[in-house]
Amino acid sequence: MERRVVLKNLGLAFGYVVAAPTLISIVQGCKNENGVVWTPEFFTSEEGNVLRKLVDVILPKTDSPSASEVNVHLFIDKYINVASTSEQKDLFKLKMSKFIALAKTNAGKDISKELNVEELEATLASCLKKSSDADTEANRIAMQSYNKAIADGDEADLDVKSGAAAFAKEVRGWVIHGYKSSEEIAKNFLAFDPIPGKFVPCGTITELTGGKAWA
Amino acid sequence: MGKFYYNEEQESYDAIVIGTGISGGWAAKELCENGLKTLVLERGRMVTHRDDYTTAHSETWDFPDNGAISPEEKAKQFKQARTGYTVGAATKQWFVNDLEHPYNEIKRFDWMRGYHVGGRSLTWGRQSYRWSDIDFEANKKDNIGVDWPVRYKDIAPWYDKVEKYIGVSGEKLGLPQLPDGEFEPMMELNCVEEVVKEKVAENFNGRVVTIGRTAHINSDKNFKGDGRSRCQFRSRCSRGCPFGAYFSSNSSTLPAAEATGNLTLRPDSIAYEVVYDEKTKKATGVKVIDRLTKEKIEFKAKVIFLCASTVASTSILMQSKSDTFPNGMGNESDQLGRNIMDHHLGSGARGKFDGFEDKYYKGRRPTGIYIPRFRNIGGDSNSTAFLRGYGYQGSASRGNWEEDIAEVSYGKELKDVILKPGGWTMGIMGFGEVLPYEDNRFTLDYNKLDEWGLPTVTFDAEFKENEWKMREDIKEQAVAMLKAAGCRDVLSYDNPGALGLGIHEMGTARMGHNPKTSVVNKNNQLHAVSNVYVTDGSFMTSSACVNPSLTYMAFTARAANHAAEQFKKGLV
Repeated sequence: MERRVVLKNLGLAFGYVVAAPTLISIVQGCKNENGVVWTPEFFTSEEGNVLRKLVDVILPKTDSPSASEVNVHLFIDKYINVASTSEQKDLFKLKMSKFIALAKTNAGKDISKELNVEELEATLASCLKKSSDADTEANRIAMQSYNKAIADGDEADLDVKSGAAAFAKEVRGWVIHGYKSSEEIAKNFLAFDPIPGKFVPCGTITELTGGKAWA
Repeated sequence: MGKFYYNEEQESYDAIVIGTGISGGWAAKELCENGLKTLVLERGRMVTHRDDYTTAHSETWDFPDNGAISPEEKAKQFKQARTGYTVGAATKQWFVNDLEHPYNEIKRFDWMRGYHVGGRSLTWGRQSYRWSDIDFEANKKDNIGVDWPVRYKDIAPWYDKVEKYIGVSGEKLGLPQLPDGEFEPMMELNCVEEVVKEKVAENFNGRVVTIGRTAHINSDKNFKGDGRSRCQFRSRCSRGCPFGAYFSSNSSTLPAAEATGNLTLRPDSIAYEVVYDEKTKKATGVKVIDRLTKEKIEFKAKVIFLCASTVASTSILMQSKSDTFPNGMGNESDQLGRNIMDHHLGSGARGKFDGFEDKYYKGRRPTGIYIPRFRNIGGDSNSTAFLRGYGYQGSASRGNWEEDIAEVSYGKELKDVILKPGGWTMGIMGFGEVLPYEDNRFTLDYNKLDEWGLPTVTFDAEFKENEWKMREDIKEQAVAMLKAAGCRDVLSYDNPGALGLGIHEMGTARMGHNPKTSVVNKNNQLHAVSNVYVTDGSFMTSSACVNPSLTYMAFTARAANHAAEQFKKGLV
């Protein structure tokens, strides 16, 4: 892909200032099958690869951009890296590893890079399905014993099902948050008005925002 | 080294005001306007109206890392974070560093502070309600604590003066328990809140839903200060308002004081002692430590106003020891530090509201609805389960994806949902009166000193039976009113936190008739040292259930004019 186009897609078109290491990897990695290489800060490149596919399964391109088009994967990577403690980071990575393990089992594949969008979507769908009371309870107990093990300084683990389910829910929350708080979406696909100037207590949606939610 | 603003340093002053928050700003304005050369001391950094509101126009994407804050940064405000809303990327500059400013907790106490010019007048909730005689007479009637030496008629003209000056938008209701004031045009209720208002009036005898009385300009009327103008409905108030639409010391009282030419302001000055002269039996000045150089300096004045905030002002009195006052100035009654109060909050109910799917609002209204107290105000409102009462604050709004998410997990359907307004929800939360208890107190720990060598504060206070019983009623009545209003899936909640979380800490130097049982008299003067006035929340004898700032302002204005009269008569 032509370098200028890559730069435009990744950054300038969406007003996102791309960090220098990311720029270097774009320049170096134009041939990647997914368009561009992105060097995550928190995730491994393998995890980043899965994350980028997943964010677009959760919020695909329609009349509005897909999650990755507004750099939601960068947002998640950066935010967790900056804001989380090492314990929180460990737990997030553990949950993600369980999700990836489940996706590999479901798809009958050994390498996460080979997981395609359809396979990731199938696992995500199963993880996001409304869980039975028994499953919810099992997930709760799994988290409880994980936290206890951490507190006791023991080796902590989660079972695949609980970890994957927790990851799916959490990542969905991150994606929605990152998407709505991106400048591109807030300004162009939500109703954006930083200085409303007055308060209209009760009007019709059509008249006030053309059907959009306020950013 | 701290700097002097607006005037050069002087040999001595007519008055010294300690603190620049809600109370200190008013003391400064009134004293300066009465012609007194006034030095205002602030322990924290300088904050200039507008110029220093660095996040006022920032969107999420303007903050470094989208507003993510590192664990190391969070650790600096681990107690300030207990509110859940005070220390985000947009507002954390207004709250103290807990590592630099530690305090001790025998029992949990949430002490939320802002050390800078303007203090918490920059971040306050701006709810502004008058007390009534039901409040001023309560201690006497219930035989609790001591009686207030003040009644509504004494303070009403000062409420008038303050409201006219700061601008309070609200609705007149004619209620005996919540006297009306000099209001700016009210902000309006949205469609769902209007229904709740009707249904509550229909189903609950005498209960009223109104808009919050809020210290915002809501007209084109001209208000004094530094270029104040009407509310723009951004609801980014606690970042500092570049429009000066809500009242703060920075936008309003300090500029008024400065305009007289009588104001000298010295930030970075940590006051720790009021100096006492055994011969004249008067205070002669204030000792401070320069925050930056740690140098000790003494400033002289004829009148001293303690407006450093509840716990801080009382701490200064405790540290002001002399032969006459070995246990702290004004502490002959042993009441300093006792009867610490707050409002208890965090209990209430919320529900979903069907209908009005085609309706929405525009603008982020910086206030909610208010349901004034309806318990123990006479007649059939009296409860046998607890004393005093509570009010509710709340609002209706259209939510976002959370409400609709159960049916759509991901993909295109999810995307449609998150870009449209969700269903309506309505919630109300109680703010209840906390009784004064002598054993709810703080003391100073001289074994644990802060960076400036000053003793740290140790809290030992808790909610007691009356508060817990009141919370049960708050939940029950909240559920009943929301159900009557037509809400579905109504759920109550109860997150008590601890004393302090209301950020209405008050008491610890109470006002009363008798020097043996109280610290200040009806004019906010120390009983024993007539030229020392305490006019922040410290002087509060009971807490009522309404937000307290308007009352601090009214008492401060009254006390400052009293002091100015004394000064002019040569009595101080």
